Amino acid sequence: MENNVKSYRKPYVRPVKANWWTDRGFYIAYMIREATAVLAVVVALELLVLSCMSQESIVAFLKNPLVILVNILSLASVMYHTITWFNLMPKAVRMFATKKPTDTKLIPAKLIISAEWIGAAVAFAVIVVACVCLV
Amino acid sequence: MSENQIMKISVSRYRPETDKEPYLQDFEVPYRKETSLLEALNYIKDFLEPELSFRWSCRMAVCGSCGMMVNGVPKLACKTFLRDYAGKSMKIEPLANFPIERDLVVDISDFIEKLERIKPYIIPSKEDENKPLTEGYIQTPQQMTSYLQFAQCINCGICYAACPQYKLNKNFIGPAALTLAYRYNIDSRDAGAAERMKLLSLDEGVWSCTFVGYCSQVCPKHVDPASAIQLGKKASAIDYVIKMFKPGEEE
Amino acid sequence: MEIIKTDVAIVGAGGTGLRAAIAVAEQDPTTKIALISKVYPMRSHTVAAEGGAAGVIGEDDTLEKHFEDTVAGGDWLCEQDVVDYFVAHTTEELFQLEHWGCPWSRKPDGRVNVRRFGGMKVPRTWFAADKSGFHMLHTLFQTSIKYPSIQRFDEHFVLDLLEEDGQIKGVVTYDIQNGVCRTIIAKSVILATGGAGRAYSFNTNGGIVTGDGMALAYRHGVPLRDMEFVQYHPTGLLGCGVLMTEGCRGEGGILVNKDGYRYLQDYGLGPETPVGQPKNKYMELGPRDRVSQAFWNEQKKGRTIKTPLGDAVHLDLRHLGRDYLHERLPLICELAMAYAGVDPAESPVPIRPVVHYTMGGIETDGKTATRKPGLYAAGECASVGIHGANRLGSNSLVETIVFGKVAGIEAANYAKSVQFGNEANLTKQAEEIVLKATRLFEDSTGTESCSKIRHEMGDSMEEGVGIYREEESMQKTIDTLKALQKRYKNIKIKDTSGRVFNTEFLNAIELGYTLDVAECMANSAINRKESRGSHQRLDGPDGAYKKRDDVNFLKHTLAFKNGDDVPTISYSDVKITRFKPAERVYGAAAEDAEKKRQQEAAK
Repeated sequence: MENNVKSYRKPYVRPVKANWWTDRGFYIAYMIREATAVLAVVVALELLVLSCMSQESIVAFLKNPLVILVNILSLASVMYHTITWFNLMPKAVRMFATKKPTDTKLIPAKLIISAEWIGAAVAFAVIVVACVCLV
Repeated sequence: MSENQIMKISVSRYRPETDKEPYLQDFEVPYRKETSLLEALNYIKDFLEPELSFRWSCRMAVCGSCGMMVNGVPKLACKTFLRDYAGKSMKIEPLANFPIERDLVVDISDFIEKLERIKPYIIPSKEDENKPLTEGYIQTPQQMTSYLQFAQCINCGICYAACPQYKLNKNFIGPAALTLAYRYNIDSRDAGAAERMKLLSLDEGVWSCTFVGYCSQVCPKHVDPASAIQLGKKASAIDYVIKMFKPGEEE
Repeated sequence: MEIIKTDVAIVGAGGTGLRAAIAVAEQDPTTKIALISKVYPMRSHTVAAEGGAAGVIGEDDTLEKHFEDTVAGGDWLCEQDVVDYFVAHTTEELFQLEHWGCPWSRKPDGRVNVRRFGGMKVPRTWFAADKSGFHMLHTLFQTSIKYPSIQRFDEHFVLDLLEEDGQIKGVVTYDIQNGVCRTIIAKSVILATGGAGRAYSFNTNGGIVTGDGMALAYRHGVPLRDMEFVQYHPTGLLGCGVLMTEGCRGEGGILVNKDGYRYLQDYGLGPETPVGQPKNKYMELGPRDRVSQAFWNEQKKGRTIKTPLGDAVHLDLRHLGRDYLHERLPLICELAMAYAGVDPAESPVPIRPVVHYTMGGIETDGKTATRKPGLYAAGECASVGIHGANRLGSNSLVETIVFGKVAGIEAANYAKSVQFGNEANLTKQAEEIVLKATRLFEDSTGTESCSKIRHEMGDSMEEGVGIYREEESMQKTIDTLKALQKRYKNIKIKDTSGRVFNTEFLNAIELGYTLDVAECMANSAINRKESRGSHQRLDGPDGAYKKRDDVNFLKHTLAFKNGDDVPTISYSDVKITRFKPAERVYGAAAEDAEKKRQQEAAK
């Protein structure tokens, strides 16, 4: 301390390992959510391929066990993404029930998540009805 | 639970003058149901190893000094209780994502600089600049509630230790600082949102966040930084669109 | 050694230090400020204050009422001219904080709300839920960032003051992070280091509240004033001592003994007020000294509740309801749950009195100047004269900002009127200071353990200088402290190589500070042969010291450093302007006394 040293620091910086995300369940769940993007690309490619095919080959293609597997996985990943995303949504929505200056109750997260599912159900129903009508 | 059980605690040690890298040292600490990790560390310092260094002060989860990793999870030592680890062991390490200064002490200067950068103070409008000290602003309970949760941050740095984006990119302004910026932006007394928005909309601002959400999970004061940042993204996007249509408006 | 020159050096960056720094910066942006703190500013103990800050704002309130509450609450040991200045400036300072962004709790119409507090005639306590100190500190810290003339020295621990020709000319610091020492030469120095509650083992204070500034001033010949007055807060959690704010009682919480009886009515605070209808200055809203003393008496009568962590009484909040509790007292709910495992909405919280605040401190005049030119002090570390023998809750938070500002302006003006000290001379002094401090490193031949000394000091202070005091036990504490001082000279530092964040070294120096302050407390106490405010004695010929003695002791105690011996005690006059000492009464007795006073005034 008596000399002219400006600092005795020697901070240790911990290296970031490539598998850092395997430490915690929370990070793993997050990485899976991000990875669902890959399957979304696969489905997009699949649709692209389908659009160039004839009616019969579409049916044959969709009957391929590998394609069935990919589609099941895609559906599962979409569901997973939806659930995680719906659960996070209330964080991006902060609203009071009324505009009254004394109203300090935020709309609860559970209500927002329920609204999301109701919305999704309605949209699904509309699509199903539309498909049935078209066919 | 019986009085005075024994907990095995492994504490990460690193003395910059002598050690090349951190290592673990084991201690056995007697505890009761009220014993916090902070008390356990003070027991170690008082009776077993006086050299051990860590930050602490208030003992009541409000000064923000004693953030550390407990079995890999960032927590306040004073709000972590040994009873919750009964039958297990505890591994105590310095807060992740910060350089280790010594033992359990990390260098948080980067976080402090970021806090300072986002202008965390009321920037009054021209009319309010010389408001007399005989009156306050009128702020309704609702207006106050809109930001109050985001004003509860104790600057403990736990959210930075939880954030993978900060781990990978130290330029990211990070959860606590972005939350504070948003807190001032939506305070009805403030007129400085435009100034802060320039910073929030940068690459290292809100858009570096990928909504992992772990910051909100570990925050000891339930500040919910992930929420503030998503709301910040919304504001940033709206700001962008408005500027697209009214390019002349920018100062 | 690195040398930094600044105009005003401020030691401590809690409420007072930050407010002082902002005051200097606003007065003249060219004045250089060094804001020095052994922790980051937001760790300062202001952060833990819960209840609120007093400022006259209600229509039924007047400055005179606040003045009277404060002086009577302090058992007439207040400097009345200073109290006048204080009450006249609280509200503007609180509005100033409001303008800077402090989220004071609001009324439905959007204006600031106030709550009841102990010893106050009318509700006048501004509050930010039950995190008032936290919000004040963060508002001040964040606002301070606006001013480029404030240069912060975070995590710099002050080893000593620099003095030249009887004037204070700077400080020597240990930069904890870099592990080096650094001298800061200044034209004036403000001490804003907070209290010394850590002299006791059972306290509400943070680990950093070790009386550093008090000891620094004391060692440089400035007396510590009224150090015998140590406030016990009536409601601390058992074991850890974590504070349950007085706001709990202000909102309607009640105190009951093991029989569920509201015992305060037996101690001059009654008659009993209906549950859920708190009345100012009655029952649970009596002043802290009286409420804490009542606990002691209940304990003697065997009417307290036995728990594994010691005797307790119950703070019952259940009748307030969960929603109200979570709105007004969210932190209390959180703390009671974490540290006592009790949900206040469901069960009463076991509590007991706990050391909380040092009324006394560095002697200053009404403008925060000490008798040493160039040295100023404000906040809890100072005795500016507003608390007397007992501080009223919510007067200290506002003291930090009112007198923080005064200190800033006074120290800045002084800095403009003088030159820097002789650099060569000061550097030499600084080197000697560093050498002396680091001798702890160099020869580690000592054998005494710092933590042992600290624990013995704390226990001895509780025993001898607690809620009630007697000659014999006080003398025992004085002897113990003397022996500890001797042992302190022979302490062992194990970590003699660590420079960076050597907290063992840091704590050892802190312990030296606290020991000095503890000695002042005990010696001031034994010499005050009367009972006043928080200083209550049980002894004297025929119990003579149980009463207030205005003839002999309507005086401030001054403790001067006397080499290695116990402090020299002397006395100074109390400034009484218009409010003559009277019996200090609460509850119904207070109303009678008030009526009598008014009748006499009418005559």
